[in-house]
Amino acid sequence: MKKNFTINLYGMLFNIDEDAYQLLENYLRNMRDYFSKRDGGEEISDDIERRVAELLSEQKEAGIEAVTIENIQDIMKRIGNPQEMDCEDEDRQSGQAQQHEQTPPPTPQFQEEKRRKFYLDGRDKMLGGVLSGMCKYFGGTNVLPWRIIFILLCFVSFWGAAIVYMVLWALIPEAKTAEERLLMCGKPVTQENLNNEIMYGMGSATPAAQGGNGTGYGCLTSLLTMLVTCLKVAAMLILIGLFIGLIIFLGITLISVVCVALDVSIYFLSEDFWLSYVMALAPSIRWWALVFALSGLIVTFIPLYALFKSMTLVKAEDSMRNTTHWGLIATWIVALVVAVVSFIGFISQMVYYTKVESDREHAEYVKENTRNGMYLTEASWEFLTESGWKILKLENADNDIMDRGESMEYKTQEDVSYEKQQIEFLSLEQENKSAPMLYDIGKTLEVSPGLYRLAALLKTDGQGNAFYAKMGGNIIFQKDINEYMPADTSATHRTTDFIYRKRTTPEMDKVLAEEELIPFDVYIQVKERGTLDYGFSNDKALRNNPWTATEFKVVRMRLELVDENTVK
Amino acid sequence: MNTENVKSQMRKGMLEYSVLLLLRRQPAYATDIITQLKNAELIVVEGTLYPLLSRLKRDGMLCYQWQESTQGPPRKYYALTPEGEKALDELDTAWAALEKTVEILKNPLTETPQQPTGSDISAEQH
Repeated sequence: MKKNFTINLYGMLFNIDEDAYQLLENYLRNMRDYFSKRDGGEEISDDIERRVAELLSEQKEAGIEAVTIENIQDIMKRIGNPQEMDCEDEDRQSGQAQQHEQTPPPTPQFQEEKRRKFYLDGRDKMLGGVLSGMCKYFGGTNVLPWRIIFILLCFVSFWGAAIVYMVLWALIPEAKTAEERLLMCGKPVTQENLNNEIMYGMGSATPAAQGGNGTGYGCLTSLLTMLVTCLKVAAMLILIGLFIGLIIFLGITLISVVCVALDVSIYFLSEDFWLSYVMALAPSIRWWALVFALSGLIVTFIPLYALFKSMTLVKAEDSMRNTTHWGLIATWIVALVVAVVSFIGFISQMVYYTKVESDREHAEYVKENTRNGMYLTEASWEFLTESGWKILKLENADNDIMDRGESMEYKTQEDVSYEKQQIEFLSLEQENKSAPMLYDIGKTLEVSPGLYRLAALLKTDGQGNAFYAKMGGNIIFQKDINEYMPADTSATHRTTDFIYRKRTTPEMDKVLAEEELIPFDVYIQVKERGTLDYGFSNDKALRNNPWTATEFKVVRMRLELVDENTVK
Repeated sequence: MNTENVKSQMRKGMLEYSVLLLLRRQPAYATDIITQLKNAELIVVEGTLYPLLSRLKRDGMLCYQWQESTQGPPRKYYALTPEGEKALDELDTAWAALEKTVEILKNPLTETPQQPTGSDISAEQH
């Protein structure tokens, strides 16, 4: 008992056994694939199909109800397979082209020598048939171990193997005709083998894989096809992105090469365009970049081209020969190696020259911002000039005396204008922990006799700091300052009242408490007119304590005459 | 010497000419041509004819028109074009020359002076 179909061939209906149908379909498809490569091939195939219909209808008239596999085999023998048709016809065809050559044309279809070609095996595939084709190419019969090894390779190579798979899939053609299948398996292309391949090879291969009678497997294949298409589109988008990026990169490289050659400043692109700037530094960077850009373009373009072809041409007409494929793959691999090497070269050169350049810039900056042998940041110098502070001595201290991270200005930024007016924040910190910090900072004021009040908010982490007031080089007032937690908030408020000339806001109270600031409040008796130098220092000459702090901060300092006549 | 090979080369050589000859008599469709060629033992497999017809048509030797058939699908009836007729006439001449050559080669003793005959043959052949 056999399953039976009804098929429609050019308007005529035939009842045909399942196996006979399979064979007929393979035969006709093989024919179409074979002739599709030439002019008018479609028409030839149509005519032959029509002839098949005619022969079938003859059999029907002779009283055969259902077409069996034997009937189809008879018909195939009568009409012949494409290679046979061409054999009888071929000499004339090639004879025309070779009129002037006396040698008889060779018949390439019938070479007895054993040749192998790498094709995708469309009939035994999970994704693209690459592994199956590879297995057959190397003479294997069972693909399963190949697949297992491939999956392991994918993990080991961080999906590198998967990328190679995609490239091969896109570049290698699928074995479609019986001849190509024979070449794939390394069987000699002889008449007998061709017939066997058509008659048995095709029929015996899993018929469901051909997607004819779509069951669960068919559904899975269509799902896979969809997934694959999505992957292809994603890969294409990534490749296009890379490609455009590389073109821009190449453009920048070329511009910097030209600019350097013409001795034009690279800065016309942009004031601080880092990449072109770095490239202008040394010729070696530009050459690495150029090699990387060009090889990278090849690396991205080849798979992009292959993907594009595989997606646009549904049936690529043997557009690329096998040698071209291998040539492209070889080019790709070489370009990939060159790209990786040049990329590493480019990056290492860039890192090196960027460091050299930034060191040079830093040295220049330090030179510009060194005054009286002391180096401070530009902002620090600005602050000192604006606030009237003078740095008399500074050793082993941080170069940035603006401690912005913890500054009051930063923390109470709700009323920025007020803070900017009122708060000055000077921060001195030890730089090298193994050596002591030395500082002497102060201000000057022209004074007349009277009682002066000085208030400030301070912060320090140790002892050995002192406040001093000098007139004409003589110390007229000195007071040690030690770290302590201000338990007496009224003292703080008294001081801040004086400093800010009004009560502080609750927000500021909070900040002052958090910063653990020490209210410093003293009265100084000035007896004669002159210049008063006053400030803070941990110089041994000025303090009465062997210890010294690693941190000293002043938040606003105010000195004012409170009574001209009072002598305290 | 492989006579089979030579025979098949001969058949191949005259296949195109034969098809044109058949079509000179009357337009025909592929199956007619196949039957006659098979009777004449010119082809082994039927499929050979189709690429040949396609090529002749592309070269402008043949044209075809569809005709309804009492049984089965409509048929393509092939006929010679004027260009095809012209080509066929040329082939006729060539064939006659071939026949003559073979005739001469088969009976070398009918004409004793060999030199002129030899030059005649080569003149015809070239």
